Formats: sequence, structure tokens, C-alpha cells
Amino acid sequence: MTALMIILLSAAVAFGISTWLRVPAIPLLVLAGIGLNGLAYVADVPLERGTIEEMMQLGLTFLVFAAGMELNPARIGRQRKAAITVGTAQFATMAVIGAGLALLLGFQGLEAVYVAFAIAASSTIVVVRILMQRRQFFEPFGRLVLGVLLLQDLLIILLLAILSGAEDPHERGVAMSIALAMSATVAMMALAYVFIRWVSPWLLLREHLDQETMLLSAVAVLFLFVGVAYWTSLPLPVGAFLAGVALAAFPVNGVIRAPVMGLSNFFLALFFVTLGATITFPGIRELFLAIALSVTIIALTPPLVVLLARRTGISTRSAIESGLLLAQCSEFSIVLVLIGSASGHVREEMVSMFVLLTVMTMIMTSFIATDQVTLRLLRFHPSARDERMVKSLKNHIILIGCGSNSRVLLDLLLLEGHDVVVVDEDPAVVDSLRSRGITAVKGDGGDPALLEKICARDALVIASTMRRLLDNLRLLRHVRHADVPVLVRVFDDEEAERFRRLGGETILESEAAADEFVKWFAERQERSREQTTRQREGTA
Amino acid sequence: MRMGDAQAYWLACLLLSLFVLIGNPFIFMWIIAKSGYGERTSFYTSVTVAQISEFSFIFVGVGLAAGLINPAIVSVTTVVGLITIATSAYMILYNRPLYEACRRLKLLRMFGAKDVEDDRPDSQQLRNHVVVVGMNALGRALVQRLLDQGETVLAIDTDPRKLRGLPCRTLNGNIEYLEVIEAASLEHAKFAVSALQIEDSNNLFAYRCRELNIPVAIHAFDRSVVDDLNRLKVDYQIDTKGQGSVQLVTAMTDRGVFNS
Repeated sequence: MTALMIILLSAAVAFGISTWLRVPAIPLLVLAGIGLNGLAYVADVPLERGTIEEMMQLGLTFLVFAAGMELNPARIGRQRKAAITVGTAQFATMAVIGAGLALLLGFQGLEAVYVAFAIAASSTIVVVRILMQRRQFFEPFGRLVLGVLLLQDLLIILLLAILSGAEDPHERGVAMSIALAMSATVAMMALAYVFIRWVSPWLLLREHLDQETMLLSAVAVLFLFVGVAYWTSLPLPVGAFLAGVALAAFPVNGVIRAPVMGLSNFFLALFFVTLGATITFPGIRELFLAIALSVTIIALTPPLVVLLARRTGISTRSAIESGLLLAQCSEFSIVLVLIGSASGHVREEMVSMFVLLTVMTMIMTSFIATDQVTLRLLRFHPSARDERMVKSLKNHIILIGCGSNSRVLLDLLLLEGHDVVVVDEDPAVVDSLRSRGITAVKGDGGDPALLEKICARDALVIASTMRRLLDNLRLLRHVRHADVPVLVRVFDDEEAERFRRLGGETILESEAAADEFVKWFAERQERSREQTTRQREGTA
Repeated sequence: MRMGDAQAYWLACLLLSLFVLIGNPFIFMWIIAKSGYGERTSFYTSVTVAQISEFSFIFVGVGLAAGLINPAIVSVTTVVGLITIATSAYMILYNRPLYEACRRLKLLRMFGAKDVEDDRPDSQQLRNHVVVVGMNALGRALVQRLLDQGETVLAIDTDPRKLRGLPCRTLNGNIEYLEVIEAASLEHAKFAVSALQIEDSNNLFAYRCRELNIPVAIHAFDRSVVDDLNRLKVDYQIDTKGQGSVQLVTAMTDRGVFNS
């Protein structure tokens, strides 16, 4: 109990500092764990390693469950094909590169295989949390990443099945054990499907179910799957993940998310603090290996994803964002090496190295998967720069962002006979416009180089429907003193104020839409009033 | 605790349970009725005390550890606890039929409770109001316009700072939680609107409104959310981007871009 109390106390402090300084919580939680370990060492108090590892397992199991709940296949939507392509290809490629690198770094035999797979998968826990906090699930890259995560987790679960079978705990012969473990995994996946279609809705969508019962039912499903995993000698997180997936379909996952999230933060704290506490001070060699592998993952994943996503119709920017989000090791990597260690395939010191590697890459993700980094990388990417020369333009109309809502405007402008230049980062949009003979440039509308090329300062009018604050600010700053009217469609009134200060003319979507809605609402009220009056007159 | 110990004391268990199940409410009813409350209020309140506390277990546990009582007492306490906690739960759930039965059997006359109906709670409860979730720019614009139309508005947001200074009733909470839905009296609302830009929350809210048969408008902030909203059959989708683009055309027209 004392250990738990100390862990929770340090987690509370870490969360407090994270909120105060507005930094991600996970790195601080890990630091808290490392700090606890250090304190125990200095004060010569023995840490109850067994308890800490159990708590880590508990935390991991619940977290994987909560993350699985977010991987609703339906949410992936139109990015499904892209997700499958990118997911499998990235997994396979990283595994091969990882194996090569491992051999180069001196790992041998089976250990190299573990390294390969450990670095191939990305972390569901960390990425889902980031997407949730930034509210980016609905963005194309958000959907793509969810699909990739789901696919990679399923692949790694099958792998875990093979490896735990290879351990041959019941001495049935390795081949038999592996076959049994694989069948058990597939059976659980089938069970998860049964749950998604029939059991979960029946269990959780009944009338008058209060939050408490909902939470208990969800946790019961978790324990059921974990029980099946235990019974079939599979790693418990596998069961937990599939339990989460079993509850991932809408509206079930929406209905239970609130109560589960509360518990989730508790286990997040538990997991990352204990993870930090289990990091033993690495030897020079382990440290070097961890850094080398981290750098490899972070440096290789974004370009790889961009390359693989090329033919899927995703914009370059989305591909870079996805790549940055996927550049870390998975929590399943930890499970993987723990199994490896138990079967003697992985050396003890390597386990510590893997934990360090996973923690380092997980922490780096919150710092590198940002808009600023994406923009910087976008500049380096060759396809982002459209090499086509655009003739010198004057008095033209520039449309930055040409989504489906802007088509009417575009057609009106063309009808009027204006010279229109469209800038959009979506290659599909650009291609379709070009096929109509419209001058379209693929790229980032806030990029000064691009704006220079399309002679933005000499335009008649610029209309921007770009979503991001930063991009619009860059646009406005570029044309600031050029006396070009810039119309910016914006949602938030505070952002609108900033645009106005830079000389932009703002169109507030929120006000426009609110007006339309209230008009509709008033008409609806009027109609229902008339109906009531008619009914009363009818009965009178 | 050993159940076997309790067996020897079965009579004590029974009598003590009955004492708690009947005696406690009896005492309470007498006191509350004498304090001037109506008969129904007194009964409903008294029925809630027909069990022993979980602290009783801690209490006897400490006593046992201190060597002051023998283990059998702990067993008896546990059995009485099980019986009374389980039974009283049902007594509370079915308090109305129980009350009616007691009245019919004229058991409550002796308490001499006043024959008054006490004040119904929550006379402040909202009815026929419009619920607006998410006090972003859209939410605030909607609140203002709805108020101008004379509607009663309840604004909900998870951030109390966004609710400050709003000229309507506010509720600080996350609509993913059932308690917040209840506190908003959503089932008595005339209409519900979500201005949020969170796909999951919007879908859940739309689903809940449909279950309660409340017409709902949802902010369709991106093309990719439209399919789900269509499937959920929301009554109106607030298309901010679309309306913004329409305004863009108007702004261009005002600038004389369209001359012919």
C-alpha cells in the first residue's frame, strides 16, 4: 500500500507540474518514476520490484484496453485502404531495417528479430492520447493513423501469440504450442467481432443503465477477455486490447468512454511512473544502443510513411504528420521483450535497454509531432514544391484552399472571366482542377516561397479557406504591405481579431452559420405553432 | 470471518436484523414526523436507514484486533450487515408500494404525521428550454441569437471560464457523462444544439438526444463527419464552412468582383 501511495503521490505532482507548465504529462510521469528509483537508491531503501512490476502490468493492461476502445474500424472511414497499405508496408519495412541495424549493432540471432519487431510497431496509448487531446481524430491523417495503429496492433498480437507459443509453457512441443497460441488469438479476435456486432450493444445500450453499471459491464468484458488470454497462456495485454476493440464500436464506445476515461488516467499514472521506476541505470553500451535505435526510428519513420502514402491520395502534409505521430516504439514492444527475456532469447540488460528506448521514443513524440516540425519538414520535401513555372501574374484572384465548399465561388469567378489561381495541398484537388484547365498549384498556402511564385502581392483579391491559424498568419504577413485585400474564412472570433490586426478581412463562419440556423429554427417554431393552432381549431 | 460461527448465533442474527430493518425506520419515522414533515416524506426518509453501516465492519474488526470481542461477534455483524444492506436496498427501490401498503394497513397512524405534501424539490427545474453545448464562437453566437428570440437557453461547457458572463443559465460539465445530461434536464428540453468540434462527443450527444426524442442540431464541422450525422438522423447540421463560403461570395460581390 505504501508503494502505491508513493507512486500516486508522485504522479499527482507530475500531473500538477504538467498542467502548470503546459507540457505533456507522460514524460513527467516517467521522470517521477526515475526520481523515485533514484531516491530509493540514495536513501538505501529497497524497492519492492515485484510489486512495481505487477503494478506496471496492471497499468499496461488497462491502458491497452482503453486505447483499444478508441480503435473503431468505422472511424477510419475513407482512409481504410491507405491505412492497410501504409500500415503493413511500414511495419514490414521497419522490421527489415531494424533487423539489419540490429545485426550491425552486434545483436545476434533471435535477439535481432526481437529488436526488429520491437521497433516496427507504434504506440497506441501515446498516439491515441495525443490525437484525443488535440482533437485531431477526424482529420484525414488522424483517421489514417488510427487505421495504421489498429492494423499494427493486430499484427503484433499475432506475433506475440507465436512467441509465447514458442516459449512452450506446457511442454507440448514448439510447433504445437505455436499453433495453439495462434488459434487462441484468432478465436479471441472472432470473439471480439461477436461482441462488436451483438453482445456489446445488448450489454451496454439497454435503457436506464446508470454509469456505474456501464463501467462495471465494461470492466467485466475486460476481465472476460483477459481471463481467456490467461487460460490460453497468451500475454494478458493481448486480451485487454481485444476487449477494448470489442467495445470500440459506436455508440457503445461513446457511452462508456466517460467512466472509463476516469479510470484510464489513474492507470496511465500508474504505468508510466512504474515504468520510470524500472529503468535501471544503463551501461554505456545500452545507452548508446538505445540512442542509436531511437534516432533511427525518429529519422526513418516520417520519410517512410510519406513515401508509402504517396499513392494513396493523402496530402504530403498529412503524410508527414502521420509519420511523425508513428515514430515511436509500442507498449507492446515492452511485452514482446519481456516474453523474450522469459524464454531466454533476450538478455537481461537488453530488456532495460528496450524499456529505455520505448520511453525515449514515446516522450519524443509529443515534442516532434507538432505543426512547426511538420512545416519545416514540408519545406524539404521535393513534391511539396511544385516545380511547374507559373507565368508572371497580375490582377488575378487567388483561392487558397479549394474544398467542396469553394467550388461555387470558383465557378462564379470563372464565369465572370477572372484569372484564377488555386492553391491547395491536396494533390487530388489540384489534379482535378488542372484537368479543367484551371491554374492550380499544389502546396502550402502560407509558404512565402509559393506565394512569391504566384505573385500574391500583385493579386486583385486573395480568398483563404485555410483552417490553421499559423498558415493564415503567414499569408497575411507576406502580403501585408502590398495593398491586396485578403478575405479569410475563419471560425473563431479571437483568431479573426488577429487576422484583422494584420489587415485581413474576416468572414466569421460561426456568425454566418448561427444566423442560418436560427432562421431555420424560427421557421420550425412557427410551423409547429400553426400546427398546434390548427389542431385546437379542429377539435373546437 | 467464519460463517460457521454465525450459525450458532442464528437467533441473534435474526433478531438484530429485524431490529435494524424495522426498529431503525420506526425510530426515525417517529422523530421526523414529530419534526413536522409530511407522512410520505417521513416514511421515505426512514426507509433509507434500515441497514447497518460499512463502518460497523471496521469497528468490529478493530475490536477483534484489540482482543475486546470474540470472532463470533464479527461473524454475526457480517451476517446482519449482509441481510440488512440487501433488504434495505429493495425497500428503498420499492418505497412507494411499501408506503401504500403501510397506509392501507393503517400502520402509520401512530406517528401522527402532518397530512401535508412537502414542497416538491427542484421547482427550479428547466422545462421547454434550448440546450446549447460548447461555448466556442458558434456556441456563443447561437446563445445570443436564441436569447434574442425569447428562448430559455442553457449553455453547457467543460471550461468554466467560457461560461463566465453569459447572459443565460449555465452548466459546467461534460455531456459525455449521464449526470450532466440529467442536470441539464435534457429530457424536458425543447431542442438541443451542439457547437462542439469533437466528432465523438457530437455523435454521442446526437445519439442520446434521439433516445430521448429531443430534436437536435449538430455542428458538422468537417465533411468527414456528415455521414455519421446522417446515419444518426439529426434534425439539422450546422454547416459553418458552407455558410462561411456563401458569405465569402457575398463579400466578393460587395467588392465589385462580380460586375456583370
